[in-house]
Amino acid sequence: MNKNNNEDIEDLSIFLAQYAAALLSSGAYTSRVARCTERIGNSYGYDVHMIIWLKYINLSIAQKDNYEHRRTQVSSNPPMNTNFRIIAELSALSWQIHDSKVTLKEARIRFNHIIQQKHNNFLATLFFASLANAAFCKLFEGDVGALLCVFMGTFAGFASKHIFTKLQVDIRGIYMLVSFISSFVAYIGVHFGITKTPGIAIGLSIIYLIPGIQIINALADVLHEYTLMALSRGVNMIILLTCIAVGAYLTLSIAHVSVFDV
Amino acid sequence: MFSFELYPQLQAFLHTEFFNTDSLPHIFYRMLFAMVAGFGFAYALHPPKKIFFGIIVVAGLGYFIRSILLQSPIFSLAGASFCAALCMGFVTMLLAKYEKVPAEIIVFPALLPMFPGSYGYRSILSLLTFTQHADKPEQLTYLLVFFNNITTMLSVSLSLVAGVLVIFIIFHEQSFTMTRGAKKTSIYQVFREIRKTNSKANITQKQREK
Repeated sequence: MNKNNNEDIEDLSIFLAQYAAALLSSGAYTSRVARCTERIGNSYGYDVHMIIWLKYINLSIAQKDNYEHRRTQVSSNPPMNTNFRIIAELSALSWQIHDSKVTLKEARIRFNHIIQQKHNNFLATLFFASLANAAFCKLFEGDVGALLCVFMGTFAGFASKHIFTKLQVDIRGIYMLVSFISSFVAYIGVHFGITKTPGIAIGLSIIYLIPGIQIINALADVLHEYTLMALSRGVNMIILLTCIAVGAYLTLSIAHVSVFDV
Repeated sequence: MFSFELYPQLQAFLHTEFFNTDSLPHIFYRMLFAMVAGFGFAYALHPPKKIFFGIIVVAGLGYFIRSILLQSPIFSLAGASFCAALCMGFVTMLLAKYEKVPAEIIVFPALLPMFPGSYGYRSILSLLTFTQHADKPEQLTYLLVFFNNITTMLSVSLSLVAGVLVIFIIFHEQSFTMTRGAKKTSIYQVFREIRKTNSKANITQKQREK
């Protein structure tokens, strides 16, 4: 084994670990993470084998024509921050490396460029998320007042979620607090008689918090036989759903209202 | 204290229910709301700008098909959701191939307005109420409500995802090759953008230091 080879494999294993972690934390399902990472490794002449957990990725790479030349890399994943643009661009990058024989140095530059690009404007996201939740409320037959309550609840909740995230509050705490804030703001509208469908107004005001992408990814993982990942995602999802329900329950306890028809 | 009862016209407006019947025009109008919901939920997930149109179309299509199928006595909510998800998955594969993006980033946000999220929330809420009413006669009612809601939520969610994933499995290999041949940004462009980002970051850091 010469020094150059050692540096190459070291660089590649670090790059692949960063790549896989970025893809996973952007909300890709496990099968895509494994496929894209293996594709890049194969393009550089290495076999890649991975064990993927929600918290860590264990990556083992070995040179195809010399199995003595191998490395194992364990990296921890950043917290989940869904970003579909990153998934699309990183997936395309893996094909560019495969088809155009991009050098590792260039691949790293392109990877950093993709990761560093700015997110959508926060105020626009805040407005559209609130609008989306209000429109979603209509699908459950809310009246005009309910739409207004849901819009305000989502607006307040989404803004406070952003603040709590900046303050680095624990994710479960954030969900509980934000659920309380959203439902309470919606309840204020109910209290003043804005709507005659209070159940829909309060119930739908917290729907945007439900981690839908995680649910879908968990089911996709089951289908692709990454059952343990699916279980991890499922357990996380149940914890978050419980936090959301506790937040809403706080509002209902304060307000002494029942929102479901038994 | 302020009360909307003092302003009956405003109250009547706020209590207006609209597009709630199952007539075709009303389904169509509700489909527009599903499209808005799909767009808004997608926006928060930061997808590439070029696929917004695809997400809106798929979200609207899914909701419209499900609503139409629910008119028929054959389909339950879960069955109609499954059929709608099949159609959504198929259209998504075509759109993803055209736009050269992974299919899931179009169809997953479009599925979100179709989820029966309120059932999930109500099921946990009824479970909490169940525990609160320990040893009282109404306790069993809350348990029934819990199972009713959780079953609906799980069956409809599973149908939605299964419908889409069935299409993904039929086109298994294609679903992983959608991004092949996507337009490659020039490396000079990449360098320019990195330099711009770095200079902005440096300015911000200097301002902070001052």
